[in-house]
Amino acid sequence: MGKSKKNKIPMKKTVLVIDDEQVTCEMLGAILKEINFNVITAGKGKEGIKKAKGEYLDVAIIDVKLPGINGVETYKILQKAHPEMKGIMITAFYEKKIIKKALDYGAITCLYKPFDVDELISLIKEIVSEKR
Amino acid sequence: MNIISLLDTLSVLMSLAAILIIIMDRKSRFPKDVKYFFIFLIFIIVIYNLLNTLEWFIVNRELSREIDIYGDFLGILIPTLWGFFFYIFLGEISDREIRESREKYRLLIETSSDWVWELDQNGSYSYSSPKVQSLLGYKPEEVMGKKPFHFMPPDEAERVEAIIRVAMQSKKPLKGMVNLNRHKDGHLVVLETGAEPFFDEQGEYLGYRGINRDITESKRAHRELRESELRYRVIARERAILLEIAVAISRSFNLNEILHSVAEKILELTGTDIASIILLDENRNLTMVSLVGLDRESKIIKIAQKDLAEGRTSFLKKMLKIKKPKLLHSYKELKTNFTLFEQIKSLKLKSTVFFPIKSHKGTVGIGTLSSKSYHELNPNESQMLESVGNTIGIAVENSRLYETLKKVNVGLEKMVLDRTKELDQARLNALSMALDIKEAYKKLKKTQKKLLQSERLAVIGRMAAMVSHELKNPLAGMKISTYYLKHLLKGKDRKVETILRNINKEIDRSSNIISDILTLSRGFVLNKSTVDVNSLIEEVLSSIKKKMNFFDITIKLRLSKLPKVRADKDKLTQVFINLIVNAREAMAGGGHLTIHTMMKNNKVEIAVTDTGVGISPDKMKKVFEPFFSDKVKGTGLGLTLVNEIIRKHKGHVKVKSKVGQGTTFLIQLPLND
Repeated sequence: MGKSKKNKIPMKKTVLVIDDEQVTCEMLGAILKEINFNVITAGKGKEGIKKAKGEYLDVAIIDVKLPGINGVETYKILQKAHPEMKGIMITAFYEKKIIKKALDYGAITCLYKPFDVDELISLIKEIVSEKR
Repeated sequence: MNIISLLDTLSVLMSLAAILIIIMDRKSRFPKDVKYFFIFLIFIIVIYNLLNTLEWFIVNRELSREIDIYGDFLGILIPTLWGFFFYIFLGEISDREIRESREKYRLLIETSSDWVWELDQNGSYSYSSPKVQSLLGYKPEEVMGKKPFHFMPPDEAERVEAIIRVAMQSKKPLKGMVNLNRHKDGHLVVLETGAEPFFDEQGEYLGYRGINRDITESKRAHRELRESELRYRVIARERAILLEIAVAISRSFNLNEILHSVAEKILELTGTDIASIILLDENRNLTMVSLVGLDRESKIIKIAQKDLAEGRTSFLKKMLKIKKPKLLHSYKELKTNFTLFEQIKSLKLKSTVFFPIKSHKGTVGIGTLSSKSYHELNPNESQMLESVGNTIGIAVENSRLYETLKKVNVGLEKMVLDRTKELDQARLNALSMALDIKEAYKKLKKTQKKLLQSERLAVIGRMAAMVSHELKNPLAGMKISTYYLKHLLKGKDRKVETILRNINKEIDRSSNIISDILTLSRGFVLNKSTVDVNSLIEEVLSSIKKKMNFFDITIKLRLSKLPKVRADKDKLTQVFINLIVNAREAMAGGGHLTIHTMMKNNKVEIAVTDTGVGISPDKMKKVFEPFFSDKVKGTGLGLTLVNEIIRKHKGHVKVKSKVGQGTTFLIQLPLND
């Protein structure tokens, strides 16, 4: 429960990307920036939560496997802190139970690496357009 | 003639008289040689005197006068003295000698333990030593003049007289003649006589001289010895028969046989006529009877009668109580009991001995011995019958024990047989168990192998999972990067775009390979639901057609009516995808794709046929092996997956192919498992 500047909704959409793979974070971040998104990246759950504090989050893309607190927990915390946020899980592993947990917490979907980037982008665009 | 000459003549006469006396010594007082010596001496004197006398007539008187005087004097004196001396003095000596000798003999006779006697020609005692008193009680005086027969019992006297008469007639000695005499006080004394006849010098029979020895004690001892010998012989014989009985008992365990032979032997032993043995059984009822004996015609009878009628056994029951052999003389009572035995009814049995048959358990029966003549039972016989009774008792017990043992033995044998059967069965069971164990062991080994394999696989799987996860991340990175690159280019360089597109495809392919490996290595679990195979096939086909080019392919669907199948829908989908894609890729320049579904032998059959390049026979065997594909596209795991999935569904996948003509993949699925 942090102080969020909920009264002021920024014009640019914000995407939070949390993945311990640096390349994934960087590239995803670059692609999203190219299509006019505000991007916050983090390599760890805690880092992501901290960075996102006080920010208005539209979408969070969170890797299931993270050092420290895992992706699902991270998502849970973030979702609580940012109710407006929509979560997309990404994973290299097919672990039914974990993925179901995330979906129960409210995640939209789970994409399997290596996922189709176009698919991700269209999904993000869809989410954002729905919201506003 | 003068006086001297007269004296001479006198002396000669006296000498002659002396000689005559000597010769006429009928009483033989003098020893013969002494007699002859003196006779000789006197003779010389006589001769001398004769010569003297003659001399007076013929020889020179002068010379001879002196000599004559002395000679005559001496000739008178010497013989005279000689005669007196001879007669008195030497007689005295010889008398004394005789007396001494007589005394010696008297002492000898009197101190002898034998009675010394003398009989005259008439056979009357002419001498008796004092010993007679201790032998017969009579003093010697009382015996004298009497004949020996006087002191014998009449019969004995007769007998002995005859013997003695014979001996006297032939003047033979008596040796060791035993005779019975009666003591003065009446008791009998046995004497042994030894005697010899004696004669005078002319050989005239004078009588007998002998000794009598008291052998009464000796005689008694002899008799007792004989008696005891007799007794011993009897006992020995009894013992022998008892031994025979014991042997007979030991030879057989058959009670019938034993009793018969024992009864026979007892008859022999005792000289009786009928022997019987009556036994009690375990319940104290009179039972087995064995009877042996001679019937009226003296024929041998042998009967064994098992049971006695109740009514007639009261007497026998009474007799069972006796402790020692008992003799009865009444045959009437016995006859009543023995009417059971018809043959001997007519026998009049005077004496019957009952003897108990005992074992360690007490009285087990009675034996009887009956005789037609009167018998007494002496202690020895009684004792013997007791022994016999005990021996029979032992035999009875032994026989019964033997019977019991036989039964036990039969029981034991049966037990042994049963046990053997049991053991055999157990052995068979053990064998079959062993076989089962062997089988189980084999199975275990197989399972172990499988387990090992699956463990290996699990390890590999885990590794594979880790590896694939590790790989997927960089792949994702690569994919996103190529995407970004493409974006950066913004259509400026077609060539670079193409290359980037290829890279992307490769990345996808890699990803697919990894996914397939993962699927295979994971040992997936089927998520079953009811599946409509036909509609699934149609779905898959339409889905693939969207992604792949099927324009140069004619698709034929021959879908028969199928019941719903219990299967994993996703996995089945994958199977169909793989087969259809393979078929498509096999027909590079176009062809015909036929999918056939039908029911056969209660199984769902799906056949996917293409008219593609086909598979050569040597490659057929390995067609389901991982990464065996000679295709550029695909993961190389497609058919492996198909096989695995179908196998997991307990179905089968078969391949038929001809190079250049085409291939058919046939799937068989059971309806349920």
